[in-house]
Amino acid sequence: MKTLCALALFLAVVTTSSAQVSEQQLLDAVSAPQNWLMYSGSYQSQRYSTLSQITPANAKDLEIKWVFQADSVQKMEATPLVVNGVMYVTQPPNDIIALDAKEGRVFWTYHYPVPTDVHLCCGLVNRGLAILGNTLFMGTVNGHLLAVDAKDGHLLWDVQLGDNQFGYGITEAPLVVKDKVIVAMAGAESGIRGFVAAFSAQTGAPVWKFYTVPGPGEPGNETWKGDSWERGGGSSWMTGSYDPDLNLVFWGIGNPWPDYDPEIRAGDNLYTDSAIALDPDTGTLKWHFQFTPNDRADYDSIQVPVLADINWQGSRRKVILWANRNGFFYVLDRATGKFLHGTPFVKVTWATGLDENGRPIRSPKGEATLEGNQVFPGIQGGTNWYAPSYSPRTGLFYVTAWQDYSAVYLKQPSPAGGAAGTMPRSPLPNLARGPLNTWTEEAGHGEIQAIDPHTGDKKWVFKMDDVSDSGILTTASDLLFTGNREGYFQVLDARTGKLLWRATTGGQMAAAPITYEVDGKQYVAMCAGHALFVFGLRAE
Amino acid sequence: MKQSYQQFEIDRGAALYSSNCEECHADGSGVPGVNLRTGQFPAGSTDENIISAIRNGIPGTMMPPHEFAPADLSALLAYVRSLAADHSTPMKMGDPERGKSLFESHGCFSCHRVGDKGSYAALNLSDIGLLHPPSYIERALLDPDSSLAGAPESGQLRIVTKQGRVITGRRLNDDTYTIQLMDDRQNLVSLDRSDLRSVTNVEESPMPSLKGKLTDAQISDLVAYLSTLRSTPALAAPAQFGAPAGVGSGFGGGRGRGRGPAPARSRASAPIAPQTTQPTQPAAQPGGRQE
Repeated sequence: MKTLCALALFLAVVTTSSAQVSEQQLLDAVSAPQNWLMYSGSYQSQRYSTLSQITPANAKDLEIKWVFQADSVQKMEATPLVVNGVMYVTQPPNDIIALDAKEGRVFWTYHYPVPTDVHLCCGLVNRGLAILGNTLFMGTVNGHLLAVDAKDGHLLWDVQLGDNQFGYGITEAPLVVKDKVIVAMAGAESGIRGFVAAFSAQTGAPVWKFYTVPGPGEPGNETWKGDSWERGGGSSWMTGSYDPDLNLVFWGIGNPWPDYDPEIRAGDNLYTDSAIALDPDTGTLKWHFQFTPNDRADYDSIQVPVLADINWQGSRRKVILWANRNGFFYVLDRATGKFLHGTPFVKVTWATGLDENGRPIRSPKGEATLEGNQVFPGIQGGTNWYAPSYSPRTGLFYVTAWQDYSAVYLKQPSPAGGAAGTMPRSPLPNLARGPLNTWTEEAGHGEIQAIDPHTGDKKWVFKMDDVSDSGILTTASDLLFTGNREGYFQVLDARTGKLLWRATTGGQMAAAPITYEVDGKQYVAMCAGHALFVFGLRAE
Repeated sequence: MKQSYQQFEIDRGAALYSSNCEECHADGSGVPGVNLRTGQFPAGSTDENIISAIRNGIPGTMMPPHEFAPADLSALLAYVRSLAADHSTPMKMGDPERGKSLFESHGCFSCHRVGDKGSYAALNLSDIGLLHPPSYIERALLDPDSSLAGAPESGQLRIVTKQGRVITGRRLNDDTYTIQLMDDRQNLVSLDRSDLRSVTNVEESPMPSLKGKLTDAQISDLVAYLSTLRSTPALAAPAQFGAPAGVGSGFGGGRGRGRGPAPARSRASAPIAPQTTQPTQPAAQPGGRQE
């Protein structure tokens, strides 16, 4: 029976298997909630699911279903993908694991051999994958973009975007739009010149590249003093969003470099600390909105752009909801970038407010002095990269906020230049604060906030002792899932902020939750410490 | 010396070798006078000798020290040993181009995959030339039942569920309670053993023997082609395109080897800041900063 002829006849039948995830499925991701197909769950990046089996009434019956322990000393910051019962998650720095989403057993592991001399400011971490057809896409800490076969974990193509010797790296999950993979570079703390770029999903061939710091002759270059643009930063390390009707992708851009020395790069430093809207076919800039011109406090604007269609002053409007690291919550028109509204969501002292165009009005209280100045929010910001959520059911925007400050002061003039010293590596995600709990109110605390986009008012606030690096998921049963730095996985009522259930995971939760369904049962997954935890309802 | 290694150790070692060692030790013999396929090593042939040479380098030679985690060192050792284990009299290699044509015209893609073409039913051959020497590949082509049946990477299962459903496929993983496989419909499937009536290892490899079906010369051509499948080819991307590049931000090809264009200017010429502001965090906060 084992003849070549038999195999040759078989050839016509099986040489191609059907595409696992089509472009249309990505567009319709919200209507197939059994899967989780991209970093934020949908192109709108609302991190909202229509699954509703887990409810406020039965949340008390949740339990841990399975745990995947990573073979890594770096903390897991990844958002997994789930496709038809198979979960794909990254293990830092850049391994991909395919798991049975129901029981957590491993199908295959792709190991990317990261060179030993790779440097990124804040940990050799990875936040996730993108998928199209049968291909997974992952950025690497040393600045490569890889395509890996989702069926068997084999590398399909590998392209180097930037040289890590100069600080370039990728930690965000890429975004697939149409037939392209879009990704941005991290590394502003090392003085890179950031960019967003698109590649053919099929071959890895580069399609376009948009520099987030304009070069000579380009609009915006005049906002950089001298040649400071050459290493102006403007990295990005969180995934963007996409509006197919407007044919625009939206990306949040990070801080200028040097982070804390605004004088040598005098000017607004476009497009750092900005939201940018690009044509996904060409990479052409359609609009930008800068949150923090001439940043001096590392107020990155890399937050995930959350797209919502809401009633705004009597008419339906396509907006972006954006709680920024600089402490202000913004509503922008996403067709034009027009500023619609902005209010502080945490204590803010560096600016007295925003003008009619949304530009911050700086305060002397935010300036560095030889004596030091206490500035709110601190350099970790009012929020940071923690994925927010928007529920179309409650109409509320949910964000992880930090109420904290930094003491900002001038050092003696130094010939060493403005770059900060060696940055700390990603901390081990344990829960210890030291031999004694010396935590004080002044040290700051974390909150989950439910914000009404129309007014910026807080509908409710859930306060935690410690700050939190956790993202937020909401569901159609009006539940909110999140974690915190104390290692608690928490389930809140999205309408009231009431805690419904919690579980201790034993590791800091610096990731964002997802939900999915297998065999008719809803699960919620979230990384904590060196592990991925999956929760579900106790069997009756 | 450890007598045998798991295939996953060898595979992991092969990947590490590809990105860290291959540039000098191409095909195990890229360094003049050093052939890792012989089982004889310049700085001694015990496991400890080999690990020491990798970790500390070999003074007076071009071999530099390397930093690897213990598990990675073990995997590299497994791979290097596997190179020697299958070393035999050098084979007469055929023409890889003719071998490629034979591969494409004789239905090999109906079960195997190379790059983004073919089926997932049998072993993905994209790296087969890196994982196994030509002698092993030749044996697998001529006598698959003895060389492949039961091999972890090609183990075929026939499973009958308690409902009578028959599932066949290639085992990927298993444990006390579950089995993971690529089924014959090319889906990743995970099964609970408590739902199964029987699980049978298929003793006969589904790989047909090519003995007598191809000439010796054609077999040599096929082996030559398969031996060239060592990794996914690096993307031949332009070094620069679009707007003027910043430092080190060009696109280059390479699988961990390629580098971007030379820097436009060195880091040493960074502008000097007249003053530095230095924000500090409240001392009690753990966790450091983010990018």
